[in-house]
Amino acid sequence: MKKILNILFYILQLVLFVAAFALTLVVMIQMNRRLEKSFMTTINVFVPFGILLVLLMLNMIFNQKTVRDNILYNITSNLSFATIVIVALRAMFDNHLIISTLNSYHMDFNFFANFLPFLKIMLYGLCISNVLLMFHISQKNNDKGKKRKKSVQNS
Amino acid sequence: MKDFLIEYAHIVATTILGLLFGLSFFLLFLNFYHYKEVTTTYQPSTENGTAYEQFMKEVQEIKENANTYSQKTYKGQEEVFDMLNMQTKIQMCLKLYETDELKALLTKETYTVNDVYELASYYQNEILNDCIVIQMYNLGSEESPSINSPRLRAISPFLKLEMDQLLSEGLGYLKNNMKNNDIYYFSNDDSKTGVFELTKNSYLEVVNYYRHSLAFLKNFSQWYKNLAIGG
Repeated sequence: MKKILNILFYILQLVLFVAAFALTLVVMIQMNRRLEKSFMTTINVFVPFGILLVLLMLNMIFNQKTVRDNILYNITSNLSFATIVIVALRAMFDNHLIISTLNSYHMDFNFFANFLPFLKIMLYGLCISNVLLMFHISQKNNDKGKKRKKSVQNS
Repeated sequence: MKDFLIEYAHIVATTILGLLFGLSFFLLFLNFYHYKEVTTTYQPSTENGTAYEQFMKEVQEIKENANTYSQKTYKGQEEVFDMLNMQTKIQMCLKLYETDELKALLTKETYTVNDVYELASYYQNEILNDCIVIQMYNLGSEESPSINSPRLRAISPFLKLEMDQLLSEGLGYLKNNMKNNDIYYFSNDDSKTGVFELTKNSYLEVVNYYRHSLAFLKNFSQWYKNLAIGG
């Protein structure tokens, strides 16, 4: 059961990651176009996305089960990406936000900009926990530890 | 030692994940709640007629007062030009209350925050700017270049006081409050009943602003009527 849930969450996580990145990109491009700023000024928003992408690829290539099979990590990343997707969608399509009806872009940049610190906290937090979970006690050491415990109990 | 550090790293990772879980969970559901908040609608009571019907009664009364003056029958001491000038100003103002745009804004069954914002914008752009400032404000000046009536000069300080009050009412604050509805605020049902419900209270405030402006016009038109009848 846990395995099936992990697989489902893992797939959902990848889909939501792509959606969150794409929607953030759209909003940031529009925001910069409006402010007539270079896109490079918003690169710091995409750095954690890049780091997380590299980490996800490493998890996949090296089949790191400590990360992939960690249900807490999977649920948290799903929640984080879902939050980013919902906030970006609201910034784009929620007409009840007055500012989105006032400018010709029909997008509430202020709403999304207020969310950016949380977006960074969530993405950097996921990066750090992903890196920390990558380290794992090797099977040999684990077996040795178990044997030692048994011998201590027997004696 | 290595195993201990790895276990420690896992504990730190789990702690971070726990905090992130809490943060993202909070933000996600705060968004649902905020969406519910900003989409709240308000249905005004129509027990005593809609706001538009009430306003039109007032407008009709003001119109009758203004039409009391007729150049052919008037035998008073005021200059004809002054009387006509004041009549035209009142009529120009009334036209702004009789537009289709205002009718559409005031006859809605339910109001969203966007509707209330439009109503407030109309009041600011049309009623305050085009009526009070452009048409009426120079009546409050003691040295009005277009009107020489000594009777008007006698009441002009009071007119100015009333118009300044209309112009300084908190419409700007109200509009900014509505414009800032994209910022999360932690209101709940208890605070909404006691403090401020964005859509409902903004609507009631804006409608009150319309009432104040009409009351000002009505008072002025009453004074004008007395001037026209009294001669």
